[in-house]
Amino acid sequence: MHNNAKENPYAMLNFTIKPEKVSKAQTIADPITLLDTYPLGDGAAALVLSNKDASKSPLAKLSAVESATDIGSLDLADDPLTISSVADAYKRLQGAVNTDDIDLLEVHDSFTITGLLILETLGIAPRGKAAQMVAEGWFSPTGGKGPIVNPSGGLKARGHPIGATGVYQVAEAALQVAGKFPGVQVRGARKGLVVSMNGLGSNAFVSLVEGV
Amino acid sequence: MPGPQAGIHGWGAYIPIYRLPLSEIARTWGWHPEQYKGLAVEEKAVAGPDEDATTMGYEAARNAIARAQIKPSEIQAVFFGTESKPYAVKPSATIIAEALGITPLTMASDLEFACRAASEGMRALSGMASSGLIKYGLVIGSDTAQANPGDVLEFTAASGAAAFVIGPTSGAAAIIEDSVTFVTDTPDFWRRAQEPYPLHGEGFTGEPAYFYHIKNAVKTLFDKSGLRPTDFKYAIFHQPNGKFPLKVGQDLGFTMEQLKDGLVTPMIGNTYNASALMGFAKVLDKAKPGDRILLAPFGSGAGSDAYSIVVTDAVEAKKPLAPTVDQYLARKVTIDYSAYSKNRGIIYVIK
Amino acid sequence: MSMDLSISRHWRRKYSIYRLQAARCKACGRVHYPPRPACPYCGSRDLELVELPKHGKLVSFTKVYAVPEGARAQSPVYVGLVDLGATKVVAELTDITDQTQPKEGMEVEAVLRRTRVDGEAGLIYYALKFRPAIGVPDV
Repeated sequence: MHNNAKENPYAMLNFTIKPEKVSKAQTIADPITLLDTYPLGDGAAALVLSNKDASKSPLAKLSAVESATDIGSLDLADDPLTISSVADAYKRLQGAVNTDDIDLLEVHDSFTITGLLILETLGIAPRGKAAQMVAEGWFSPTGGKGPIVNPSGGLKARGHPIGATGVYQVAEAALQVAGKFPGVQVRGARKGLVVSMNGLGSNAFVSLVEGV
Repeated sequence: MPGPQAGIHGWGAYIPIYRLPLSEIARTWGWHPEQYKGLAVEEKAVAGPDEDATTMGYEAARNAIARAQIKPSEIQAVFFGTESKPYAVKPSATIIAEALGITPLTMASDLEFACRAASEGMRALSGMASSGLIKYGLVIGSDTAQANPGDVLEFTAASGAAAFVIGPTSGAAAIIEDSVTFVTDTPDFWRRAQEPYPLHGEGFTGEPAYFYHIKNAVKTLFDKSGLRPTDFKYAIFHQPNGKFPLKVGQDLGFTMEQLKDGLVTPMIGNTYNASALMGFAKVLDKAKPGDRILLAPFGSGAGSDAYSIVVTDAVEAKKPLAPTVDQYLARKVTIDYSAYSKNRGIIYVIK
Repeated sequence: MSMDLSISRHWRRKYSIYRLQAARCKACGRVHYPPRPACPYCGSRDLELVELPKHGKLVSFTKVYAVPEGARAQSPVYVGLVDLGATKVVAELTDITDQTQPKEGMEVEAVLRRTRVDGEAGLIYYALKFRPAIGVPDV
């Protein structure tokens, strides 16, 4: 996911990394290293939203936005490996719109583990398997298996300007389904799923962005 | 004729996990490798980077309260004896009392009399308990003893704590049957208010201070009570090093057999306010009902207390309720001089 | 104040920090730490304060090298998830050395330690931390 940032002109860390480089980077909180964490930086993103009839040439369609809250605490969670707010918000989204055939996802990988847990919570990867699947080339633009995850590079590479991050993600998904993303463009993308959350998931927003 | 009597309901100790071999100090400061051999101490206990006299006192007190088998809220006085106060102004006694659930209906204060402040607290509590002013009181002796790096004092200045719950004689593990205190103005050792490390008046440290005060306190106790050394199973003295307590004990007519079980300084150095009191806790860990114990703490400045204490049947049930001094002695990790310097704030960090 | 420490915040939370005071929900029965105005599980505001046991099992832990200002002497800081039965708590671990490394499932016990110190002149902040258990009893 990180490597996609090399093509992204908006990315903060626009270089590729190898697993050895991550494991040998400075340890922040064992086993999480510096390259497992997001770079702190400034950034701004904006979306112009309108009623569907008001715009003559919309870039994309924001089909649904759902949110949920949860305890967002490692100690109070019954299962700290499932992000309940993301699961609940995604369930609601599935009730509102058709989420089959997702072409790409922009997910909140503030840390490597957060991104993997989101994929497992969504059911895109079976529990405990996301890391292995990513290593096998799943979810990458060249791997040919599964939807493309974080063509922007994700939070760890594009950057995580906290309050602006969620808007970045939706803007990136909109540019993807419009075929106008300036970095790794998912070919023929029609449906993008955006997962935004805070901290350990006390609050999550899940959005579906579709091409028009 | 014995005065009013009080009981010891619980005892507890604490020794930090870290040990600094004295050879490290000699190596670092260029002492002759044999310099410290006369002290009869090989390594000293060193508090960790997140420890101080308050945190160590907390743990010793928790052990003592558990052995006392009382609710913390039944304690009505907390006396904290230390010469390594984390705050010059702000009582450690209230921090410990709050953390243990003793507050708010309690007296609480930090006492200062070099190494015998806690012993003063113990004697005060026995008076308060026997008079009925309070039912139970908690006394804690705890020090992260300071010594100027490179000073000979650094070989022995160690960290540790001991605590006791004092109350009525009924139900007690041991009875304080008699006690005396002997003090004078003696310039053997001091630390000025704003100074980090103490100084010692070389000519005054041994004979005019330690030996003079302890011997007079013990002899006064003997005269007052009619007791003699042979009446005691154990004798415990303040332990600035491994040699002094043996010398003063033998001078007073005690045998090695009576002295050996109360020694802790040879294993961990001098824990100042916890020194004699930890020796006492160690003896209670193994004492049998009926055993009589002589306890004589000493503090520079100077003064000594002498207590005659008799162990009761209640001691046995209390022994397994908290870790023993031997368990703490056995739990150790050796560190080098740099870890010790960091732990004890010897490295000056420019902010 | 030179650091992001609040004297009043620490004081308000002292019973949680010093004694593991938690809250039990009278509606759903679940316990949470530290006490909040409403039950994080069911939302009920009918809560009672309880004290958690000071002994538990280490579920997981990490070793933090990126420590806050004022904690360099304690670096690396070990942080553990501790199962106390009624609930779990996240807390610092202490007395961790090369010879006493934390392990998942290890028995741990809470003891009072310094957590942060505000420079040379400021307040010393104490808190319970967990260390490999040696059998110090609850009181």
